[in-house]
Amino acid sequence: MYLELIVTLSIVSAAFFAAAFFMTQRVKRHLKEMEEVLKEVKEGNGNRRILAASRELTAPLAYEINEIIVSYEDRIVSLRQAEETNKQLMTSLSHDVRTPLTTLIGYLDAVHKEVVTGKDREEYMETARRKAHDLKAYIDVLFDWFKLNSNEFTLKMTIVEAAELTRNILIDWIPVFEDKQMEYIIDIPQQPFPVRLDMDGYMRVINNLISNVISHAHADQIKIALEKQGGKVKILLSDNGAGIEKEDLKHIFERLYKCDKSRSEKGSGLGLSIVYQLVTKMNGEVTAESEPGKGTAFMLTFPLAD
Amino acid sequence: MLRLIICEIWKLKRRKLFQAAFLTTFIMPLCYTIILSDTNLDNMMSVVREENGFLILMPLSVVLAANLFFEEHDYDTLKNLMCIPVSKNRLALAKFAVILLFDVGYMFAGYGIAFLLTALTGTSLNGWGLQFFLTIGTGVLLFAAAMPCIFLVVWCNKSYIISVIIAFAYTVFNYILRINDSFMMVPLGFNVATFLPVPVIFRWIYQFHSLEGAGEIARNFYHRFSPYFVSTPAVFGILLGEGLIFMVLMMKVYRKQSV
Amino acid sequence: MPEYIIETKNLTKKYGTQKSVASLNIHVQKGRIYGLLGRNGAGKTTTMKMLLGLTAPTSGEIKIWGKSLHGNEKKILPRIGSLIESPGFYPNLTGTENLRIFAALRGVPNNHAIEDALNLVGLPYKDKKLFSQYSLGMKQRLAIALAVMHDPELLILDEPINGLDPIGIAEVRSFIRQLCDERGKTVLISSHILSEISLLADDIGIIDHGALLEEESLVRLEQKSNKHIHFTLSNTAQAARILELQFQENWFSILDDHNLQVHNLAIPVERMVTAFVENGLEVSEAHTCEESLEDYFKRITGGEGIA
Repeated sequence: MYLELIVTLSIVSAAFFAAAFFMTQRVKRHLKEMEEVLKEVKEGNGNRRILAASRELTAPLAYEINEIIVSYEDRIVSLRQAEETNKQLMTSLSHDVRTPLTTLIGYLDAVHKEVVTGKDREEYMETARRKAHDLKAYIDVLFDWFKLNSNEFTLKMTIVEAAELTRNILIDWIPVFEDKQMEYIIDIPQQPFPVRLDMDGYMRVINNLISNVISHAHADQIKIALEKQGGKVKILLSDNGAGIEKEDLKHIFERLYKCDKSRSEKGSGLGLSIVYQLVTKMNGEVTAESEPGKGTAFMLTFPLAD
Repeated sequence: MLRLIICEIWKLKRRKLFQAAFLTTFIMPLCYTIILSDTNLDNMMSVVREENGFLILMPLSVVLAANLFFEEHDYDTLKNLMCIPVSKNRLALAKFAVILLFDVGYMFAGYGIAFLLTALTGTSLNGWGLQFFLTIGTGVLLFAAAMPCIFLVVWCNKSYIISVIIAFAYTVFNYILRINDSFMMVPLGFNVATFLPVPVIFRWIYQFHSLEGAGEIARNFYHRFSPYFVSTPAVFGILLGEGLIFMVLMMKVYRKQSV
Repeated sequence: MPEYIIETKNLTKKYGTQKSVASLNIHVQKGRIYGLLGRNGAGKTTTMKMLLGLTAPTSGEIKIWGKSLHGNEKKILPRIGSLIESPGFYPNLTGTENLRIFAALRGVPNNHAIEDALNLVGLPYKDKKLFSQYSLGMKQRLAIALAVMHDPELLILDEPINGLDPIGIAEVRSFIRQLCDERGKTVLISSHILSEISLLADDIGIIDHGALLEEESLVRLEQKSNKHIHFTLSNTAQAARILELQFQENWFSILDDHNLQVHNLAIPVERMVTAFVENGLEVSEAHTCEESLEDYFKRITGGEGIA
């Protein structure tokens, strides 16, 4: 009787000690691994992670450490991002500003050195003036984009009446349409559409989209419509211009993407990227549909404020 | 290692075949209870060990093993495991552990059902402790006994159909040898009979058969057979040794098979 | 001296007498996307398999994070995320269950890693759908989720966009780009599609019949293969004016006061030179570079090209 008890007890305690031993060894090994990882993190490798299966004894500790590493890494990432934007701004300035600016100087020099006279001279001056304006417009866009990307752009979201705001924006464009001999169809209902927006941001979005049509679409008709769809307001901006190839359509909201590679006019490739970023920041959506040769349609949707 | 074993079990989720396999435990003891009225615990457990064990569990373990050893290859998941990295040896060990668990679990289920049926028919449950040990022991021994066949299957590295054929041939071969005198009535030593897994297991469990209420023929057989009984340490020694050798060989083969 | 995450020295793999990979020396730099470009059967997959220790090299050396892979697998491999050939998962399990297995074996950096990885590739977490019911695209997405689940520092992706729809391709592309630009992860990616690699990679290695033909940064390659007419002349401002007025051409770039590139190859060089000279400019050099990236690849692979 006693013998049996003793045997059972000793087997149980042996099993217990063996289990405890293995557990300790395991934890020791994990701690050693953690130390190695942390050493490397200390040396600047913020990408190292401590891996642990969720049921592991050391898992909560490992996960906590990872979280700290990731949160610091996130901060570095945002710094890096600003740095990257800066770098891109520099590149844009040096590449995309240099060519139009030098060309502009070309005309002015010609005038200055009296290579041309009379009517030609007038024309040169006019060309130079136009180019200077284009360049300014480009630089404005560039800085907008830069601000958006370095998170210096703060939006003041207020409830705005979208129909009225859109109408007001369009009023300024009508002379431009007429000047370009473009037919314009504006279909904005009289009823109010309260939407939570940043007024300035919304204006930039519409202005960018319209100026994009004017300078790139080669269209003679533009249509702007606004309607309610479910709990959302939908703004449709379509043209009957050249359209965008399917392959290009996928990328139009990416930065510095120019479909029209052969004729880069004054397009900065930034306008649509700004539209996309602004709309997203205002909790809206922007999509584009196009058929080459028939035209393009941009669709903006914003949730209605209640 | 424990995690590898748990993962191996996870992988069997929704495998109807292996869930259904446990149902087969019920068939033999149920038939036995229905057909024969004079059941006792000893006889019931013999049915569990011999018919359930030798006839059904043996091929089932081989088919399970074939599944376990082929699934990485079939589903192309070995590369995912190797990149973790998981060593092939440990993976193979985990698979062996699952087969062992399956065998022991299956015999345990058999024990449970036989115990229940005996209790229901109102027969005495005397000697349930010994029977438990014998039944679970048979599970462990059958695990080792299946190893040569599993080795064959892994080594051939062929389809499931071939594996199933090999498994059944092996089972039938072993089951028949069990009632063949020239393999049973041989003393232990370096001879074929000693290393044939199922006959050796049979030579071990038969000695625990109770002669109570047995007929003349059974008594005579018991006495004629008794000199060739194998002791508990010997049977575990022989079979586990044999199983170990084949496991090592299998690990060698498995390691060489490419990703 | 750039920091190499992967470096191979004379890496060779023979199957029988045939060399699948021959004396390969590739250098993958930290925080960059390295595109391994080659036709099917050029040795890309074999190379990647050797880098992951799935196949032993016949000869040569692999160094990852400066350590020899051989003998250090346990330390190196968990830091890599990989996708090799077709997605391999257990068909009787759901996507989440499949990931759970690998998460349990390798470990994860946090307890929402599986959910995050699935979210990232656009698959539902704890969905009831079995892997066997997945479409090709979903399978590929799951494989990508597996590759990134443990937040690895290095990704080795073998044709990762196989089987994905155009939207999926764009998503994966921008995701890889983001990992690299923002997180400083290093990526080795293979493809047989030139346009895919040129959209994504920073450095390109071109592999053909197991041998590395060229290893160069994309910027350099594009410079090498940019279609343009290059002029070196006395005054680029005047040249620009002349181009606009006489040729109605405004697709050009001014590099500095004396160097200018005209991208439209349709204008005859001699007419431009004449126009410049007539307007009092001195033209010291004019040459045409008219090899596209594709032409370039065709030339160095010595054949049909890669597409």
